[in-house]
Amino acid sequence: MNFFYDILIYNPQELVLSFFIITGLLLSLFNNERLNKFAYLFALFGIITAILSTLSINITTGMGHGNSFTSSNLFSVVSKTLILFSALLIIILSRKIISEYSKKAFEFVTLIFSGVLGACCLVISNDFLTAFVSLEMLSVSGYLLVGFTKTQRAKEASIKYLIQSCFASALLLFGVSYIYGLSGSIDFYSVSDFCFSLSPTFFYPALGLLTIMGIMFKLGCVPFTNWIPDIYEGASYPVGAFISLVPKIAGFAFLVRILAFIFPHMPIATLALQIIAVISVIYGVFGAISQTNIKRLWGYSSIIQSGFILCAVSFMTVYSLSSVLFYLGVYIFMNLGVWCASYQFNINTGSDLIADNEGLYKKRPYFSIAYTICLISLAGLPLTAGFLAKIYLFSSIIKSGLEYFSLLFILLLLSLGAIFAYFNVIKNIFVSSSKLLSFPFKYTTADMLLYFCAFLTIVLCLIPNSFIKISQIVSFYIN
Amino acid sequence: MLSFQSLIFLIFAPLIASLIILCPLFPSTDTAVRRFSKWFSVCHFLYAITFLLLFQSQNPVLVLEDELKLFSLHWIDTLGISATFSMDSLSLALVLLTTFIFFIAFVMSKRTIKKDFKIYYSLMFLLEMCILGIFCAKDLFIFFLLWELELVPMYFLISKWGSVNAKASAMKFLLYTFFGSIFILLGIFTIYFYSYSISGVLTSNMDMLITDSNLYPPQIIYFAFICFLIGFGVKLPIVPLHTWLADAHSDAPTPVSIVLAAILLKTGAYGLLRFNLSLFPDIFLTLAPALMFFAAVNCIYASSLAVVQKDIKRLIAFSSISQMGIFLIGLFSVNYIGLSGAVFQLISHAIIAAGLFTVAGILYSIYSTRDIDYIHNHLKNSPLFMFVSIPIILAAVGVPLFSGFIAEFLSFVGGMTSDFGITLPKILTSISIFTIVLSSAYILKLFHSCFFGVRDLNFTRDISGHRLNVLIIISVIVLFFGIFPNFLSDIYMPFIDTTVDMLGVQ
Repeated sequence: MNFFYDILIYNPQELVLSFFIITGLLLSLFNNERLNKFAYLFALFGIITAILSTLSINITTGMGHGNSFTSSNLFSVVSKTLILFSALLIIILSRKIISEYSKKAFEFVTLIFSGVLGACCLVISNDFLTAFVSLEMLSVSGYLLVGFTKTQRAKEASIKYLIQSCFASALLLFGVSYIYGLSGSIDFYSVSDFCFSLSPTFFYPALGLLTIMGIMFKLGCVPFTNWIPDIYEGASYPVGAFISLVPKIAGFAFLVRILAFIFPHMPIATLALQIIAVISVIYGVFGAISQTNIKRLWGYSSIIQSGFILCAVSFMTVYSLSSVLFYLGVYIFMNLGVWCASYQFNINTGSDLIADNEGLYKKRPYFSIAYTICLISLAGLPLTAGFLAKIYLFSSIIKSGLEYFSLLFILLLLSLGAIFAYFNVIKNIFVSSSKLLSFPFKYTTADMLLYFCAFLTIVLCLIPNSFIKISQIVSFYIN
Repeated sequence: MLSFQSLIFLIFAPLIASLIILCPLFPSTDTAVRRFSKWFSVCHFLYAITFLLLFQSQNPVLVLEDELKLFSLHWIDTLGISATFSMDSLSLALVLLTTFIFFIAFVMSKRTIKKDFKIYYSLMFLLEMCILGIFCAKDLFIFFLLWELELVPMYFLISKWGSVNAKASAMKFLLYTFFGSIFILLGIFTIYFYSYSISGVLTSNMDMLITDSNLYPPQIIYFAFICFLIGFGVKLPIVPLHTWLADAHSDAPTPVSIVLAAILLKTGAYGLLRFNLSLFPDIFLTLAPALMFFAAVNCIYASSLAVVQKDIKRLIAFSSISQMGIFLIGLFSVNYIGLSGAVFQLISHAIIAAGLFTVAGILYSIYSTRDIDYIHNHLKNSPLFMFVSIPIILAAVGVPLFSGFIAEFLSFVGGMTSDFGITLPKILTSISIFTIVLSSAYILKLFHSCFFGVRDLNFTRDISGHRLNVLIIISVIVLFFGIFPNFLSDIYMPFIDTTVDMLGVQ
């Protein structure tokens, strides 16, 4: 009873999500056409309830409490809110796919919900077992979502995702089993105590890195990068947006959590993560420059952004973590914005190619401007929140020590390449061509969401004060 | 200060105009948008003039300060960043220049810009806002934000309304200048965090930053100085970093070329004056004799390149680089005459470059080519055109009585009287003086093709209307500042006085 009460008080979002997953599964059994029409509203209602339930957490007293499986703090609450909020936007985006596959509408909604539940549990997990189970929950719903449309491409992507993800999970499990064998515990606190008592030996850091490698898969960093473009290409647009947001936020929150326990005993992690990050950005930039398919471009773009964030994570200072949090918040909007725009384009023209965007400005000027704002934000130029977030992130690198100048310089040079890749799309949008004039452009939820994202990207740059303050306060509560 | 004078409004008025034009209710015809833009920029220029009157009537060493607050919040409290702007006499001179040149650019947009009028004029206004902000920014990060923001409208202005190769040139411009920005950002981070580690206050306000070179380890302060030098050197441009300029200038449409040459290059010059000179005076004095080498290379190399150009716009672009070399000679001489000559050169060259690009634009509109071999106008075909462009051509050569002469003369005298204890800067200056010979060579080549070509008796190609008016205005200004240079130098002199005092030089 006490256990249940704890969950209700400290983790109400997970409870709400579980309730809606079970209800959704039950409703999908009826397979009633009239009922299926309500799937979209059901999903909206579920996710909004989960977001609102966050308000019931008493921030002043409830923090830092945990049973052995989970523990909550302000950082995990905020990351969960980010996850839920991006899930809300993705559900709005997938309105069309829900009505198109109305027979499986509840199935789709339940899969999204279980993915979000997995992500939320990952964020609050307090031992490796909970973490592993929730990671698998996130991944399994990911495989199913990728293969949801059942085209040849989607099936291929789904299988590829499954195999690669299993390999990464095996690595994680391998590392965890060694940690368990050495310390006799899987609880983060006990592991941390054990590490403290241990003199740093050669293989201990290696085991820690093995564990971190498992998470790198979710973030899409080196060495697990090659799945991203293929799977984004195979998945439908809303699912692609889902995979580029939810696992990433959850992965970073979990990485920060693990590092907060293990990091003080593992100084080599900083160097290792920086090397991983820089190689990821190089990989992403060189992949993105020559891209012709827009979904693959977003794939490489997500690798680039992960690399940038990972660099700041590696320092684990309050300043750098607050910049990570701010970046993640901004990343939701700019990334979702470009997904929405390319989805809307795909709905109306059926094309995935960057070159087909020619003449978009002539056809839909305001749409193109909003699209361009999101792209400029990803490229990190003002007057968008992407610029501010990037400057904040980069300043955290220098703040950690003037010796990191070379790292920052490499990252800045690489962002030059990223600018080239993003402006390639912008260039095509503004080409004068009347190719697209004959296509009818229907308004969908993706349209509305794009304007919303573009608007917020600008607003977050103009009035960032309170958001940065919040991110700094939250970062104090990592442990 | 009068009640209607607000620095923030002066800077952000173009943004308001830009949003008004972009509003769906605003008519999208060429005439409506252009007339609105033209009259708005006239009013804006007059509004800037009231600031000049304020400075003249009250106190010339006045510094206006103002902060932009959205919802009465600072921009980012916890990082010590606030959108603070200030205006001293140097900023005032450059703000007046900017508002004037944008007026010229808007007038010249007639018939040059043939599509997408609304977005063109709103991007121009956005660009104007960025440049005004750069000239007045007090905060390092606000400066950097506007510095980067300026790239976005410029990219679109070049790529969308430019000539055939414009897309590649615009991308080159974007990547090159972003490459420069990388160094500026590194420099900003260095002094921002090092000043924090000394004083314990996280601030990016230029007045509150500690940049005293005695408190810094020498390698760090030299690092910051060189970062800023490279960053602004791309924009100015200083010679090994100049390759973006000729492409961007020649492929941009005429009004954008005017803005690029007349103002955008001056943001780099302003950066050198405001950051390298004012923040690190000691290091500037130490390195100036060595940097004089770059100034000489700029002068001679760029004007030699200009002599062999076939494309008139490229020719003018390379002449801009060599003129910026003259600015550098004045700047690196670091004395009273040299510095005042350098700032005079900034403003004089801006007006001359605007005039030259106007002439090039008119020639292009008549002949539809920029190749100097195919342009063979004759003075009897277009007597008015010749009459009004001769002052501009003469000023570009640097003939006495025109503003170009004053600027060159002051800068070279500054270089020759520079007092570093070694003769190398003087030798370099005397080598650079040969740029005057080269400049008369390329400008007269241009002049020759303009007015001494084949005479076609059946065909007159004279100018009238807005083009004539623009050329008349520019010619009159060039002549006026050549005869009465005091009217111009009085505006920015307080800045030179305080800088020279701070440096402790003659």
